[in-house]
Amino acid sequence: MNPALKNDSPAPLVQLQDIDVGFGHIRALEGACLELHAGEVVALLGDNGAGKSTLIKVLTGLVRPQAGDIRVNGESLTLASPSQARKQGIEAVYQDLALVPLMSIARNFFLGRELTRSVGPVRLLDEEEMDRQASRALVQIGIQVRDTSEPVEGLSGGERQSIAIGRAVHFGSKVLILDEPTSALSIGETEKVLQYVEAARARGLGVILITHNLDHVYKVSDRLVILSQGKTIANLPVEQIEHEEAARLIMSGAGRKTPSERE
Amino acid sequence: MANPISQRLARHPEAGAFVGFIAVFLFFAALTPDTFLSGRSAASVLTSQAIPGIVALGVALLMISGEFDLSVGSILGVASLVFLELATHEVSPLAAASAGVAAGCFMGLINGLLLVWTRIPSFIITLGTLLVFRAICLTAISGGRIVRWSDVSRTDPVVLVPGLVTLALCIAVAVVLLWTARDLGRYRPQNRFTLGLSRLGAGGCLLAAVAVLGWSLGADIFEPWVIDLFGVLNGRIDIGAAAGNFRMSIIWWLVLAALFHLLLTRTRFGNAVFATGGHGEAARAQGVDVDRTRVISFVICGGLAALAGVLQVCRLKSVDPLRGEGLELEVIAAVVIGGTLLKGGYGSIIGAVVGTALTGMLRTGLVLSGVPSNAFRGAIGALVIIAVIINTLVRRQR
Repeated sequence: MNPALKNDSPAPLVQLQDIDVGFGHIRALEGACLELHAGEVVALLGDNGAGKSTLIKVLTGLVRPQAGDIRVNGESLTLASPSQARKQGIEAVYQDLALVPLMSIARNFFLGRELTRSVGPVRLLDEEEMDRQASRALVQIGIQVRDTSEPVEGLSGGERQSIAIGRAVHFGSKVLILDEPTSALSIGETEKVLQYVEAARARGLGVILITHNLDHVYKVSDRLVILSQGKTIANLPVEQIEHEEAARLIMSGAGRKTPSERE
Repeated sequence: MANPISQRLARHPEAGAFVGFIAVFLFFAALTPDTFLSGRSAASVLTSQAIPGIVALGVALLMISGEFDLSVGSILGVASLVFLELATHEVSPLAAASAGVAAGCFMGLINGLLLVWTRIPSFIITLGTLLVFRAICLTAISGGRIVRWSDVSRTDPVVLVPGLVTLALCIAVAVVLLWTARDLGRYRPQNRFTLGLSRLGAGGCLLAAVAVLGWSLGADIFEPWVIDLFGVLNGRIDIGAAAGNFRMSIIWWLVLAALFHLLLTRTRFGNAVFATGGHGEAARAQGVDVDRTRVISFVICGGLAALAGVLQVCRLKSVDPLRGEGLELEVIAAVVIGGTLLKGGYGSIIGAVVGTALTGMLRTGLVLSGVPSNAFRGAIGALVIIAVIINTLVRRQR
């Protein structure tokens, strides 16, 4: 990790405090907390149903908490929609919501912020510019694509995931959130994704990594945050907690999980 | 292994419909060359299909956004009724026509809001509104009465636009055309085809601007501009007596198709429509307001169905309570034949146009070759299934 970028800055990049989220009778989060500094990789861990995905959906504006405080750069704010979160420089790659399969790579890359040009009173998509910028951005991060006008449908899982990550790295000016980015990938593809994580940290971004693979956590993370039943039960630098101890903490939460609980 | 040509074809949802169109055309051209290959049969196909064709544009857009509208036939009926009822009650015909289209947009809005508020599938919601909107027609025109323009006037309605307003309108249109011509002329894409198209567009806009200005300068600004509303919206296009019954609705169909093709493929809204239908949650995560996109798509679909109704009234000059009944299935069939996926995210406006033309051609061809007209429905049914099989095969090439 880069110690110069961690904890020295007065306010963390992102601070989530006492976040409560409920879906009907189910309490998904109860007073969950998370802190992230610039140039830091935080691994967000917990068993299925612990509330990891819900917590990051709060941070990306997809879920509005019933209680709690969200601070970005020390400033308290509400994130009412994904576009508001994106304006704050927060980008996420979700395991199942990454790309629209029938659309081209370039259109996926710029989805929601398409480049346009004026033609009289209307604004039309500038497809050439989007193709050009998307391939340049992807090449810069080390992703080779044949043709950015090709639909995403024909790409492999790894290629799709790299494009989604490439997009998030390209647009994410502050925070990059990766939700199980390696779950469906081969060993080689996983290595690449972990390299993207390190590259993002080197650029000074704060990275939140959700994964079930503790080996990956110890390879790239600076700090562990463990959730259990919607509560933060651990928040430690990786060097202060052994692999086995972390695994025990994650699993001890699993025993108390109610069957109806879901993320 | 797929070859590059079939791969490239597969990027165009309408490819299968084009092939089908040519096949059906050649079949009937060989079967009954004398009658089928005539201006009259072309006019018959195009004029009969322009109205469902316009409805199909909205249905295609909505289907690409992942939703479904079964109520378009009823919306067409209500809009036709609103237009003619108002026009026969001394409301200015232009205002009456606008009210008809606005009523369609409003009914589309109801469909859209019901969808995003209740999250019930649009198939069910619009099945309900199909019946509700139809009931409006049936109760408003009681006892199977038919509303006729000829009951209030022997001559078609005219719209009088004051000379100064006409001049101002012409200048505004010319300014927009010149502005567009300038932007198109300045565009320097790498792709030669796009460059050529931009240059051509710039030239076309420039010529159109000159024509509009020339026409307005020649007109007397103290005389009102007299518009024959029925004629402009759906009158006969006079291109020689032998040519057949070509109607203005064909022009509006093609103009609207071009506009909606542009909207869907070249604007941010169009991209949002594809993304909403393709993977709504992924689109929402990228900041696309998917609910807004769905509601707007419903409003557009309702508005286009209403406009089609208004155009149809301009030709038939009457409205009966069952106007537009059964249209929804014919239109959905045409859109599906045109390559649009029922689950959304894939399809095209061009496909909807070709699909609608294809079903019309099939009907005319069958009639001309002496097949009983009731067999037409069966033929359309078979065509839908064949088209979906072909479109699925073509899509697998991607």
